[in-house]
Amino acid sequence: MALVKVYVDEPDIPIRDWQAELKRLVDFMKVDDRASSALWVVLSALRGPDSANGSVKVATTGVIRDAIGLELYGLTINPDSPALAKLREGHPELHPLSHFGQHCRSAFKVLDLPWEPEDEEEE
Amino acid sequence: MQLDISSDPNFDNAIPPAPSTAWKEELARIVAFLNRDDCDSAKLWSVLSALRGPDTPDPFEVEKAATAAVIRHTIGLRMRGLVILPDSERSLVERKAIASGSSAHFYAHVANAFGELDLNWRAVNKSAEEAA
Repeated sequence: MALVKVYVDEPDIPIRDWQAELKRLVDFMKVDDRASSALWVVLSALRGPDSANGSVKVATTGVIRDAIGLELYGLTINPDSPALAKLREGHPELHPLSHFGQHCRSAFKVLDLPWEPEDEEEE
Repeated sequence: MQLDISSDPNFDNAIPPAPSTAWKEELARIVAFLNRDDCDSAKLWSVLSALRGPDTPDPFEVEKAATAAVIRHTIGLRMRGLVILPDSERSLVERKAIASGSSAHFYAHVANAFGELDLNWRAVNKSAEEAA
């Protein structure tokens, strides 16, 4: 069954559960306001880097997925840590002008996640 | 009659509108669906993870136009600023090149999404409107 059938309002066409969920999401995104833009920023950052660099994935995608509560089996999902923040800092693949870097940085910002290592408290 | 609210003493433009949390609720719903961790959630994940264009340099966005843009168009996504295009002969030519030249990671994701959406990687896919 082609997905496009989801958008044809014919009651006799069965809609797969995931397609109905996708349609609802797309309808939300069509509003095209700040809310849908924020959602797009997160969704578009859920795929790991195309470089398949595992360290970069753990330091970015894994943290984003963990922050939103994703628990899909087989995916890299992990909490943030000072070591990961340090890895993010200055990594060439995460440069603000790189495609992946832009997406990840935007997602961190929208989710209120600290990108850079937080200053250690002075004693 | 058009009202000039800027001259209304009750209009305080110094107070920004409250930030919407609707997107967070929507995100939570999507995450809950994905966390079902079943066949359906895997299919949805296949599509969502293919919405971003390629990370590899794509100065003329030809790879994006032939893959992510077609996926976006197929699912009905319409957002300003995004490359969203119907499939075309040119994109078909590009896809044939992508299969051998693009990063394996990106190719795996978009090819998987094409499969879930019943799109043909090796043909020009028509939209519902075109097919009608």
